[in-house]
Amino acid sequence: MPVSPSDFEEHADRVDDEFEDEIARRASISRRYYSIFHRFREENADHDESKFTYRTGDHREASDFLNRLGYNDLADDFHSIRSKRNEADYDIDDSIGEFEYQMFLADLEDFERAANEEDLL
Amino acid sequence: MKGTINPSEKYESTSENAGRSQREKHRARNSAKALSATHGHHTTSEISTTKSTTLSTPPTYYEWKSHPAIDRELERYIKSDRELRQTVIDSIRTLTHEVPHAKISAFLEHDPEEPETTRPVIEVRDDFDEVDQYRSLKTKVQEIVRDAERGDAMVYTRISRA
Repeated sequence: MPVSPSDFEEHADRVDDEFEDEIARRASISRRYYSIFHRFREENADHDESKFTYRTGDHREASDFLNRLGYNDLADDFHSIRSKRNEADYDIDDSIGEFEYQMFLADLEDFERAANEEDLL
Repeated sequence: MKGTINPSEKYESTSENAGRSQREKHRARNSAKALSATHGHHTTSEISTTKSTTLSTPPTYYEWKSHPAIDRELERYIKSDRELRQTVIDSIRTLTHEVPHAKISAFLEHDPEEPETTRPVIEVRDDFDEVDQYRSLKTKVQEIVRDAERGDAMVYTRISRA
């Protein structure tokens, strides 16, 4: 059964509602990253400046596309979200506490708001 | 600030490191001798290439760096890109002045899922315990780095808690 980008976010909400431990925070960061990534790619796949291939490299392309448009702060914010997602899934020896999770949510909110303002989401 | 020696590397001259340096010099001489024996006479450019290859192999006794906050891998990455190099250096200098209590470092970030993806990153590590402080610092750092960016160069930022 197909899913949509918003399903990733709803799943993250359910995880947040039911659990409060570190593995839940990591799962939530990962799901929320994919939600925004899929939304952003879907929204901009047909943009003249985008080079999304729906293969490996599209995570990089998201930042590169924004950089080509001159939205370097947005590219920076997207990169920050991506880095925090990588830390959540790969850097298992580093602790991701509630504050680190709140930092991720702040980045996500900032990116979402600014991308909406530029009609990129 | 081309030509600055990183003090922390310059002065790590313990007897062990000094010994290592001597061994490296010895290896370099032996390597040059071996090449000479194999190929006979060298032209000037061949000798230069051999010397360069040998001396660029880490760890070296000390290494010239654009700024002490820049790690070796990023230094090599930005070496041939004048705009990016200047962007990194100017960003670090301004950040050091504008956010004096923070620890500044610059490195090359590798994406674990996309090996070909590398990003030059400046990390600012500071004390804060409110999300608003994090946002405020992030905005300030981004402004400074954006102001320093030249041409097509872009440097990514990371704000971390000390």
